[in-house]
Amino acid sequence: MRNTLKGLLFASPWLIGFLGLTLYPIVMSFYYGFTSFNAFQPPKFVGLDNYTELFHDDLFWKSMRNTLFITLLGTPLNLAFALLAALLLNLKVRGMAAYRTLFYMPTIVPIAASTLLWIWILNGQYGLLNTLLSKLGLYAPSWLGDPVYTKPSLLIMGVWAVGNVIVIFLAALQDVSAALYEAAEIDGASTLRKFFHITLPGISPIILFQLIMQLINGFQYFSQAYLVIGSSGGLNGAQIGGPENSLLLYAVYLYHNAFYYLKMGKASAMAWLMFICVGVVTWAVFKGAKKLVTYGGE
Amino acid sequence: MVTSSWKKASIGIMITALTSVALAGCGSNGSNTSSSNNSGTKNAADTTNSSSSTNTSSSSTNETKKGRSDVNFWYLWGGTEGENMEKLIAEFNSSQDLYTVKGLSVPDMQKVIVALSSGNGPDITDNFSSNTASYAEKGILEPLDDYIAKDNYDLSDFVQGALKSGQYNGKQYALPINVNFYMMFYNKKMFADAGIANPPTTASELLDDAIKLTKVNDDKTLQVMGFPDFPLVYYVNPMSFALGGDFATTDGKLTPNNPGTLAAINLMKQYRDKFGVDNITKFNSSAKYLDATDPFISGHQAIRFDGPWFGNTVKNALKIEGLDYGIAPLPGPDGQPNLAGGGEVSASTFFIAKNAKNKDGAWAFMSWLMSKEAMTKFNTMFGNLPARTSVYNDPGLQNIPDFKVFADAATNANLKSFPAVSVQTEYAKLISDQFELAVNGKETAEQALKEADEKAGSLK
Repeated sequence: MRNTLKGLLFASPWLIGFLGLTLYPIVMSFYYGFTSFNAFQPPKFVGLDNYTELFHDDLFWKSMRNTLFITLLGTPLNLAFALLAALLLNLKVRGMAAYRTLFYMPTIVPIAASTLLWIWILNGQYGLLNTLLSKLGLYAPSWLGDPVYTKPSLLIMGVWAVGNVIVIFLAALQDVSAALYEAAEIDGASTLRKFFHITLPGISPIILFQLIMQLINGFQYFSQAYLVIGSSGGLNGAQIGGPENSLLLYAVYLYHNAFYYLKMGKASAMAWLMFICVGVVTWAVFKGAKKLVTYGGE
Repeated sequence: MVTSSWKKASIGIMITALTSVALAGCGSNGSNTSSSNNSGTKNAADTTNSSSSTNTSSSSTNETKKGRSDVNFWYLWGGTEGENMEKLIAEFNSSQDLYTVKGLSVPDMQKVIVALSSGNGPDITDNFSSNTASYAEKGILEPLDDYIAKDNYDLSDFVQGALKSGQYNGKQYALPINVNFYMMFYNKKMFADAGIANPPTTASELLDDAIKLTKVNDDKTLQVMGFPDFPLVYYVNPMSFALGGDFATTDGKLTPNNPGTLAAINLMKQYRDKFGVDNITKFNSSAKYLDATDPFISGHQAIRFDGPWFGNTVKNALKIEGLDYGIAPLPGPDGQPNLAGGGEVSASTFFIAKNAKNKDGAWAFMSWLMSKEAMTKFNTMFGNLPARTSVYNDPGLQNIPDFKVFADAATNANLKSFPAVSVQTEYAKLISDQFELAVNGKETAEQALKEADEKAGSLK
């Protein structure tokens, strides 16, 4: 009993922090989701009004579609690119440390700085990328001005900064037992076969983990979109969702509702809808991955 | 096996729960304050008891307190402008011995609002007239009428549109320190080269001139944009007003589908069709506003709609010389000279927070700052047009680039302000969204505005 008390006492900084700064806001946001609340006047209970309002809100659906685009295309793209990079960085070549550093470097650059850099690279008229494309005689799109290309621009920026994903893949790759490769080689397996029958199953738990983290990141995508919008539409206050609202992602619209329109109730409702979405998707991925993922030792 | 996978699943759910819900409470790191503000406010109730005849000095009527009390003042300005603000604060503090104003530069409107909501915000702060109605409706702002009446504070020489932009439901909630509206800036050399003698005064003249002034690269992208298409936000509302439109009726009904907006869309659409929407959006998204690469400053834009801060920024902040431009009113509708000189008027405003701890001190500072003398000093330093017209002959103000032309245009009765409705922010976004769809050719002008009309009815 005394030990329990002592233990709780030692854990209290975290416990208090968790209860006050995490659990309490979560519970309150659930409650606010059923109220009309502008952060200044006391919340007024309105039942499901916020939710019905959201379902009739064109911008809500637009933001949902934008976010699904980023998540559904960005996740496989990032994972495939990161895995490919990790495979290359796992080769035994001279100077590998330098290459690995090179690939990880973009992750260290603060998001704001790297985004501003990309905004210049993707500049429609004077950008590096378009200069290159037109030199090659290819179509040079208005990356950040044309609603068709704004989200692909974000995906390009995302792929550039997957250093974290690469590092974890790399660690997983090095964890795959060398004995298995050796055995496969003796049996005359091709590189491709080894990849599909040894490497992929070997790192499948890590792929699952990365997949879920990428999905969650995708659903919550905010910073780069917010910065890109701000740099081009920063001339005015709230009219900002990028060209034709093509960059109005779910989290951005949530932020607008909370801090521009001061509709905390609606924003809380959005947060909970997102929570349910992410929860369901995560559950489905776990469920679906059961047969595909092999855990060593089990 | 079952338990371990359940454990994994529940950990996954925990992670998603924590990360996704935490988003709702996350703060802001936006940089959302530029010197511009594209919409103003207008009040249905025109007259208040605010104007009075005698001019009294501000805080002298307050009872004497022991010692000085602090007044927290946050301002959105930073850099040189922030330093200017500090100079004024120091001057106020040494001018009296009741209050000490403590200034803090917080160039993030969302941060100020969040601080105010928790009761730890400033006593007094600055904002834009486009937020007055929305903030007043939410109970953020302290009504100023009692303070004004108590001090018999003189507001009679304020530009009426600017003063009104600080009103909501018949009460004065904020006072304007300057008055902002857009005029047409044009590059004189380009006009001479194209053989155009005078700036356009009507919509059709604007289109003709813009087409003549435009230069196209080999790949059809724009080298010189002739039309005031950039920045788009300076065109939408101002040109809707200039072409005779209004965004609400006098009894407060929202009218996004008005003839002025329709004409403004069609005018821009004709220009965009001529040179290609793709090329225009590429030009716009590549352009940076008010730096050395700004297309108007670097000679890539012939006509630009911009505000009274433009000349001051170019000459005194960017130190650019040799840009020879003229200024004229926004073009009006064809054949209706009585509507000339119209546009949208707005203001930078100051308000006292409803939950301020030192309201008397805040009013003392505000009334000092809004006095003729301090307001003139402020605008001389910031290069803006004061909200009080009675100071326009002050010699210091004449040094502000383009001061006279803006001062003369400020009293035009065709300048209107954006309707002061509680859904101002949402309404402004709706207009700009539908406008964009129409000028990008995604919808016809009629269709886009009809939709705007339908959606405006359900804004809340």
